[in-house]
Amino acid sequence: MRKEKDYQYIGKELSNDMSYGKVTGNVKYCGDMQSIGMLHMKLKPSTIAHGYIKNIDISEAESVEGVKAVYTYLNTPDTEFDRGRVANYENVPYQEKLFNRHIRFMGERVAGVVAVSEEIADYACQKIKVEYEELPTAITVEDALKVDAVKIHKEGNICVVPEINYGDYDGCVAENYHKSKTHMGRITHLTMETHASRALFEKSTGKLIIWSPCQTAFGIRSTIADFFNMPYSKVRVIKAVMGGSFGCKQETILEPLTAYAAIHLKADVKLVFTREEQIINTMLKHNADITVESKIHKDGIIEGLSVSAVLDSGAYQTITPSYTSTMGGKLGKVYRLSNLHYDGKSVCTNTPINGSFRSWGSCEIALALENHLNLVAEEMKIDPIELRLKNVKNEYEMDIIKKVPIGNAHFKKCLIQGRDAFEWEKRKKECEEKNKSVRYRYGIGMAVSSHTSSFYPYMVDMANAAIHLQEDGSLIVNVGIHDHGCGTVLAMKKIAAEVMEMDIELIELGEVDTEVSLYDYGCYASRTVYCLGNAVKHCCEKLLVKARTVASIALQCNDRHLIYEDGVFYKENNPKLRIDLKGVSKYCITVMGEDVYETYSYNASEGPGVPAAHFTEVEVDTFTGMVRVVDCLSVHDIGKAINPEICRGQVGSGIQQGIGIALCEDIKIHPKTGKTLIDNLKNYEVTNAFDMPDYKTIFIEEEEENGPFGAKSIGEVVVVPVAPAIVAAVNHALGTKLTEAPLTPSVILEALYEEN
Amino acid sequence: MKLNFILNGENMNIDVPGERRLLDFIREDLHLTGTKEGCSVGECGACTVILNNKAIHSCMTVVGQLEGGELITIEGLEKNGELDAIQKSFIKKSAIQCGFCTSGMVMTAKALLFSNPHPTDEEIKKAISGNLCRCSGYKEIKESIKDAAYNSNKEES
Ligand code: FES
Ligand code: FES
Repeated sequence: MRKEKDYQYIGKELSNDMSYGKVTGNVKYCGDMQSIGMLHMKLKPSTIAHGYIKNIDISEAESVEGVKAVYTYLNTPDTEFDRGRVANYENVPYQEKLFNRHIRFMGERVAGVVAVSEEIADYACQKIKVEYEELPTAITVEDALKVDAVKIHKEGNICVVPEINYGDYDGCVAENYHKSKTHMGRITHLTMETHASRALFEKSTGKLIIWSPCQTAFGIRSTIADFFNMPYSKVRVIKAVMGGSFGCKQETILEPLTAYAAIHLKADVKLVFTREEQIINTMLKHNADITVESKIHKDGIIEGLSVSAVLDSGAYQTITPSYTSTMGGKLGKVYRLSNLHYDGKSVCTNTPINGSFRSWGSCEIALALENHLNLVAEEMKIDPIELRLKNVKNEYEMDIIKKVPIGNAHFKKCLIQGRDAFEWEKRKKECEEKNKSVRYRYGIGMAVSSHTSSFYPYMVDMANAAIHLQEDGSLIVNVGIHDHGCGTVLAMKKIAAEVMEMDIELIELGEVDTEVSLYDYGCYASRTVYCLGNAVKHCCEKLLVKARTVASIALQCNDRHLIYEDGVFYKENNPKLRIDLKGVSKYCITVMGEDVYETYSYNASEGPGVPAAHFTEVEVDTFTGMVRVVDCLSVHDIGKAINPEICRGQVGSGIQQGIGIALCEDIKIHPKTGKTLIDNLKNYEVTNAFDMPDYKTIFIEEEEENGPFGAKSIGEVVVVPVAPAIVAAVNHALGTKLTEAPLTPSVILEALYEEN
Repeated sequence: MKLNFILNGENMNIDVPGERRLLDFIREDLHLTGTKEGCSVGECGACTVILNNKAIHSCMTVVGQLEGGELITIEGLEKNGELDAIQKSFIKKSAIQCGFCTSGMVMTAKALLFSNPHPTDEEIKKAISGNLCRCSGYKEIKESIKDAAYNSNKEES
């Protein structure tokens, strides 16, 4: 194989896959798909937060011209499913139905209309009359935890997850004890593409075909096929081009609805959510309350840590118990801890459902833990970076919870390089200087964190590839990939092109289609590059072994005497004796009577950590309470960057979302009525191009031993350390001890008021 | 109403209700689905098209406003198989990830360069402040627009 210095593709800047199609508007996202006779679905939202449907009158809606069907709980199956189930062996809380008589949050679907156009479906929805019998509500977590709280589900409102205990937190002793509480608000993922799904019942074959911009085509397939009691082979899920996910397209939300209508009407049915529907009726990022306690020696060494998390699941538990439990599992990744305790609860409320968000708990843990350590540093008068340097893990140390090494992970390098590049000490002094002004205060803050590259040891992380050499020497790679738009298809092509030493333009690699792809769990846990990348790499290597055997037979020489270079095998001492991949295919098919293809299943039994540190400076306007990030720096140890430019783009996206979490994004829900108060982009504050601060990125590209070309992961970790660094910077600027997010102007003003 | 306008360089003569939302007309009647819908309230820029050299939100515009005008959608930028300078720069500078914001961004940038061929960094930032991109920190997008302006100016001089 080529030496690193000779790499043609790995680490080189290439435009993203489908760039031409995207920049010319030719790529078809799910919502863009049109067909003759296509029907459109619209859902009617409830107007109460909790209760039963007493009466639902659909007669007027049914008589609207162009309406094909109206669905309610009365004429659809009672079967329960779970939107969060990504594989059929998963144990999940089955609580959801297509339509339910029991309404559990304001805006929950009570009926669906299918019509010849979206406008007609929408109009007909308005003609449905619903009478409710209201029940008492539990809108806030506090309400839902009360002993006499209304039970939102028969199982009750609370799901306690298994505790994690390592060493003996209660019994351990140190000179200092600290306690902090962090509150984190709800945000919307705000993918530019809202949720969409298309389902077609193909009359000629009796198959159901679903297009979905999803993270787990096989997960959707098993959920749908089990729901309709169909053989998996008769349900085909094709991943549509995705306009962003950040976790919100991990769950199976719209597909059961379009699938039901498609089967019932034997038709092609599309459902595209509006922004408002996406906010209220898909998944939001959890609001959480996390308490952290620590026992710390006077030299700053952490003796023990105890973390207790309460997450609001919204109206259905779905993935929240698992998410809460996963959060505890993140505590073993960053710091060396001898004593650790974690407990968590997932609490059901009468509010929109919360679900998967980029990093699956790393964000929440980082905000609470880093807030805590930043306050500890301040109280103990230790520099926050010093405090981290004393406690972060070294390379290859054990993750005490997962009992696997963290791999070639460089926390200290992230901290030290970041400190130097950000000119931490100099800025600290400058802030003090600048803070002599009355109105504006400046502060700096930092945080460190990590994430994973696979979901080992939750299970052995398997990824499969099948690669087929074509008669002209080009290559078709089959791997069950779900690209979120962040360049994973390009990364796979680069890996294949590098191993095969061939022109990347000769490689075709489509996204997952359950009818033709080998099984894949889906794209989450930042596993794509590490696991699928390894499958592609090893499969290409295996294919080359096969090609070498064919070449040696064709050239009638010992395969050990063959050199492979740029797609050609030649004899070491007689380079004129050569055969290219086209020749290999031809010889194999015509003479040997075989085709040239290989399959490979990669089993990852490691999930290397991806350390990250974020450094930021803020300006706080003490008159208005507005916080502005002046500039910031993210340092990421991601192993070898396969697509460095796109990785940088992702860092920017993480910073943007992190600023949102820390300062402005907040889906507020009325604590009494359960109404979602922020339901479109008019009143949702996001960081646009004008407000986006300058930022710098440093990648530490030390190769991970088992990563494909040394790569690890990037997609999720980018957001993780951003918010706690900003909170710390605000505290530094104001001398406060704030821990909540977002720090909106009213929170800041209140804190300043209390100070005075 | 009977409507006369120019669409991506071609004369159009179409009968369509004047109060139809321009975005629906473009996507559903003309089948030009490159223009996207991201918010429906004029806040995300995904639906941006160019009407009479100005970037407008097609979700906030009715079809009647097209009368006698010239409409350009993302599909109209590539000429004789050659991409517009902005499109080329977006590809070159890795400004495209999921791509859902791309059409709107490119159209906003195009309108900016129509009226201001030498925008400063500040002017670029301001021009695209109504176009949201969630996959990036806008850096690559801003750089692409700058690069495109530089290249177009170079070609002209
Ligand atoms: S869809 Fe028109 S601005 Fe968002
Ligand atoms: S590239 Fe995804 S929103 Fe901009």
